Amino acid sequence: MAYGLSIQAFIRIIDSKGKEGRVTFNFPLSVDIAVLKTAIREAAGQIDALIKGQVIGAGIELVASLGGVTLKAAAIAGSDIEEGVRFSWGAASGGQTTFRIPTVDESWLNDAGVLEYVASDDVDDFIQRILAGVTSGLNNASPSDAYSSDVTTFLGGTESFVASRA
Amino acid sequence: MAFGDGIEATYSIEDAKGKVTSFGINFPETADVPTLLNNFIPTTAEIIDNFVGGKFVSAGATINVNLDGVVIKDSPILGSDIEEGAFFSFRSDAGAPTSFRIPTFDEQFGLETGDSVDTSAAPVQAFIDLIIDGYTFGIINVPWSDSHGNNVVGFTKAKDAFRKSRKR
Repeated sequence: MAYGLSIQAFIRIIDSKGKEGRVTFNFPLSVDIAVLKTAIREAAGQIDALIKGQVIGAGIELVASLGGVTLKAAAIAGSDIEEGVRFSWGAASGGQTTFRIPTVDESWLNDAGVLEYVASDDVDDFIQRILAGVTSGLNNASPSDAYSSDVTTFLGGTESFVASRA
Repeated sequence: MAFGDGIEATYSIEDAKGKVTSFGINFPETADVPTLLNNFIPTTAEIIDNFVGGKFVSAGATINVNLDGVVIKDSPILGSDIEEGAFFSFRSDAGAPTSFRIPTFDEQFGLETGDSVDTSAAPVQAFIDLIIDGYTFGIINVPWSDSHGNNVVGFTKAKDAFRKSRKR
């Protein structure tokens, strides 16, 4: 099984001033992800013995291919990453999680800056995707909150400007 | 210190001015990674593309690695500096060079003369062996590679590497 376009693992290190640096490793696409996680734990322990900084985290980054889907070739004139919509979700555990999607078309917002949609429109398709995830055979990938509790309800979307915007 | 083990799908979007920003969607650690990477991420980008004005420029997933139980120091040693480090260089079975830099490298592992790392020191030797041999669990081996996926097979050199901003 190949994973996307590339696989890199990183180990995060901070120094005594709190500044952060990284060690980055390459791995072949055919690597076993579960064993790779153990390998990175091993590497983190070994690197700790070689450094004066502190290891504060580690992870694996996989680059996905967007080549097989239909996406616009250029940004629409006037689109601005400072404008966006924050989507809020409820998890099975009772917790909440949010994320902000930039450059959402303002036509989806009412005068109060609240997201409006109806069944089967583009935004509703997205909401249903997040709630259901994707199942391929016996395998599932379904969004969760930060504590791995499944997202089960959509709580709403509101206009969101980044801090740099007045 | 607790380290999470979750997964985040990440997308980068560029606006009409060429500015790029990213956002992420959380997944449980049990999510099937091939399904996430090869199905959820691209097809959900296609859905989102219908209601945003920006252009998708990249997408991927970040899997957090839980470091609980790994023996690592609780805080950085006074005087440690990420601008001080060591470059480790290897070669792959395609003959290509590959390297990485370890920040805050402990100078006790440097040779007294020159800027080379003392590769005879036991922790340095063990680390180099890990990169060359890969990590094996049962019958599965995870090899380190160059940026083209070719397995690392040999060590070339390790030297002090200071950032340009730092005067030696």
